[in-house]
Amino acid sequence: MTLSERCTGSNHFTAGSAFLSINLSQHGLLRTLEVLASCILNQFSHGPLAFPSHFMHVLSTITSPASFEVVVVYLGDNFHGIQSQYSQEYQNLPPVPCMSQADRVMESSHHCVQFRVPREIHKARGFRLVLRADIWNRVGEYPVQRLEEGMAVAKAQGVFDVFFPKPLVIYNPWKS
Amino acid sequence: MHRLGLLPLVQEPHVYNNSYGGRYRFNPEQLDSRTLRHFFTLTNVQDLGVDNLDIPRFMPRIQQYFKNFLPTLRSLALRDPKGSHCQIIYFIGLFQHLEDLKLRHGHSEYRQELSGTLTPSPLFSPPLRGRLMMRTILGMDLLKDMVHLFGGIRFCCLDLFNVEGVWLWIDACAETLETLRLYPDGE
Repeated sequence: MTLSERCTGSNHFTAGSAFLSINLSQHGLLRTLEVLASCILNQFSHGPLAFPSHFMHVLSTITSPASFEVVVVYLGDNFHGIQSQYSQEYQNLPPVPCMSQADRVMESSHHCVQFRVPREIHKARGFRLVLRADIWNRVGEYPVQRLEEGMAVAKAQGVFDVFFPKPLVIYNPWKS
Repeated sequence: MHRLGLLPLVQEPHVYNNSYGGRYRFNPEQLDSRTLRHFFTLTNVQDLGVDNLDIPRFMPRIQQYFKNFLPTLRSLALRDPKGSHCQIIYFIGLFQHLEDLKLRHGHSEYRQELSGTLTPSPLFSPPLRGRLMMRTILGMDLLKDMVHLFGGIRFCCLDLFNVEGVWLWIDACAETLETLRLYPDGE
């Protein structure tokens, strides 16, 4: 890809060609790639894993030291009944949805299935998986609990066997 | 807060835009003597957000309006600023200790406002070693001008969405980049 072609390319990787031209081998200090959960995980159930495969390509070009993290960023709309951002109109709603035990199990299973995507991506390059919930603070620990439950199921199924050190869940609350 | 004498303790003020669509502009006319007095009482601001900053209307005395932020400001968030790239860079260059920058354009008038106007060089070349978050930045002039006027860019964290020539920004930070956020198409 020529310089002029790169100049006109935004990070709307519709054709994927711009993505495939990325080479991060010169970025010697790079130690974290972040990606939104909705960008990478939800595509698992839609056939071709276009973005994850592009992501794998980018990952394979990284030559910085071994301790490397991939941070999957969860927003509110990755969880049943939570709005993605704080808004006045949600003031009177309960901060977390009222869910039955069966619904909670279903949501945890949903996250568990999605964790297979990072496992696939891990084939391109070893990394520590970090699941980070960037959600407004009124929600509290609810998303972390759902992710940890999903992780527990995934761990029992061996999904995380390839990851060392073990995946980490972080809550990064936004001020509302 | 002013009555209680708490304004000097404020660290993260944000000048919000109440009318979506860019019709409202934050300009010197909004700062009457009373508001200006409060504005100048903010002497400990580290993280400043301004929506619809009308930089040309503040020129050439913009430094006088924002002088109380100069020694302490570490993070600046501009949403739909009005002005040429050089004027935006001049404004950024007022803050000699600035580390983080957020720049967001959300309306289509943006490209029409890029035409260059005669703007002095920035007063400072801020460190800008923190996080750069940008949304909807068209053209490559901003990067070229930042590299030229600030002597390069040194961000350690990039979060760029709908930014033309995004990989040139990434390459420009090759020596300092530690964290990169990636987006697929259409998000």
